[in-house]
Amino acid sequence: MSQLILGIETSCDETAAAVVAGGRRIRSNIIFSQIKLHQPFGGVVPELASRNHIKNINPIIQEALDQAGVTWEDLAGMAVTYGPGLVGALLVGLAVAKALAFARRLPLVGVNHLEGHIYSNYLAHPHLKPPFVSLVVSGGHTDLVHVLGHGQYCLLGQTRDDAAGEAFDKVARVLGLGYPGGPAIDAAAREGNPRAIDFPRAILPDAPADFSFSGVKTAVLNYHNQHRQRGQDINVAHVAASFQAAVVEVLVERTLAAAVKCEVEQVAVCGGVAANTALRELFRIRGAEAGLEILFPPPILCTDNAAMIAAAGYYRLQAGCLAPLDLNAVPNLSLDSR
Amino acid sequence: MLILGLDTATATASVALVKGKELLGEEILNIPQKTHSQKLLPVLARLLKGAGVQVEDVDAFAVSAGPGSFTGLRIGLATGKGFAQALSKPLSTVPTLDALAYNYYFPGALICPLLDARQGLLYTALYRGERNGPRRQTDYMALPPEELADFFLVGEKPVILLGDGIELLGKALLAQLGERAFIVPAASRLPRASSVAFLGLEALAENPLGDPITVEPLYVRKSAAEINLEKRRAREGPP
Ligand SMILES: [Zn+2]
Repeated sequence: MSQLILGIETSCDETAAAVVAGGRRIRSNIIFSQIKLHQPFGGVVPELASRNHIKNINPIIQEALDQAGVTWEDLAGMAVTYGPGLVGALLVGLAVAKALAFARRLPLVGVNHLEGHIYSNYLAHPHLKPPFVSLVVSGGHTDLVHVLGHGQYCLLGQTRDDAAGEAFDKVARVLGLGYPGGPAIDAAAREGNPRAIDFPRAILPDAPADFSFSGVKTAVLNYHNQHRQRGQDINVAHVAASFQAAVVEVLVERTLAAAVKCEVEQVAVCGGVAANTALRELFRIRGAEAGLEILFPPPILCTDNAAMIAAAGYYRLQAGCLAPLDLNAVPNLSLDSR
Repeated sequence: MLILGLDTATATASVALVKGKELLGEEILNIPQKTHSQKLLPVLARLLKGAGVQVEDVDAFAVSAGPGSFTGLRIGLATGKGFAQALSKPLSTVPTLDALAYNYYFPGALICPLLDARQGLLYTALYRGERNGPRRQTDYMALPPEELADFFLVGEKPVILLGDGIELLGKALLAQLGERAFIVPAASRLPRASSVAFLGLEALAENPLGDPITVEPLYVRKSAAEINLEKRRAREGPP
């Protein structure tokens, strides 16, 4: 049996297809980012995302096969994201994948997008081995997961309101830094002092692995409005750096505390916000202090991609979890709901 | 030539196998409680099995391209594109309203397929029934039912009504049409993949390569976000 899996991912605004060998080696990883199309709207517009997926998905699949130098006959199976995500966007990838798999008589597995992100670190770091703790942090999610084995997860905590990346987007909009907010705040913060303003860090004593970012977001909004009412300028770089520090500290502290509690040696950070330089730096410092190995995927595997879906799909296929013909998209799919 | 037709433009999922001028089989599932993602492939697999046809034997695919439910259209088109790509076979996209008019193209009549376009609008186009098929007389439109009255004014011809938008037409308009209105019986009122397949065959006779793999649904309506952005830009003037 060949070990090549074709992965397909359309859960948000990236149209992606990839071929991965043996769950670990990337043969191709094609990502069509729609960011420019959504920029005028200041965020992802679900209907536009779906419209662009249906236009581009098939050529991107072809490109993934061509770049990997494989034909349909070479594939062992296919993997597709079926949730969580935007339902209309998910359905495009799911329908294409089901038809391709049916027509080529290939086994198809449905992959949880969050599980996919966790596998981005398996792709980047061959020595990563469960059990470990993973922080999935992006525009849509802030989930702390105890990875016990392939396909075995224990959700330790998650955000109670905004995802971390969502807070970055909203604060960037208020500061006039544009969309997407993550890279914009990251860049602006480099010129600012992270101790300039003391924005709140939410403490959730009853749930030490949960997160809340609406408080810090509102604090930045209030800070901005109060200065505007008084006709005072704000130092955007200081605000960006101080906000970023507040978010990053909470992410790092809660994750490391969870890792210590779970008695693991490796921590794998993934998702779009894992590309943030301040987050990487603080994880590096505090991780070393705690004697933990901190792993990040390269930036290309932090964004939504299909290589991570193919990697996760490889192990799901080995476990025999085949998708039925009537597999539906599950927009609020959680890691525990399997 | 063996062609597989698909229609998921409305709540109805329909698949059909057509060979030349013959309908080999058709499956229709008019169950709005289930999504197309749940219905379409199981229904398709059942049809192929029942007809004793392997999917590799299909020579071409035809998909109902819209207008209709945006998500429904994309599920159908993504499925059709997937088949066409996997098997290197041509794909033909057929306007949904053309296929609906094809269900009942009585010569001499005015044919008016109506689909619920949400927010009080109807998708429609008007067709003249001819012996070899319906001939389209207007653009594909999304309009409030009242505006249809103008199209009905002319002549004494019967007006053939079909599609899931008939209920939105309103009593006043139906009363105005009086005896001229003919509401098609239920079975022919639904979008049917057999009509899509027959029209797909005709289109492929003219363009044997079919549509490119980047073909998009015929949306007719812009997304709400685009409409709002245009309004805002018109209000604020050029940047
Ligand atoms: Zn993601």
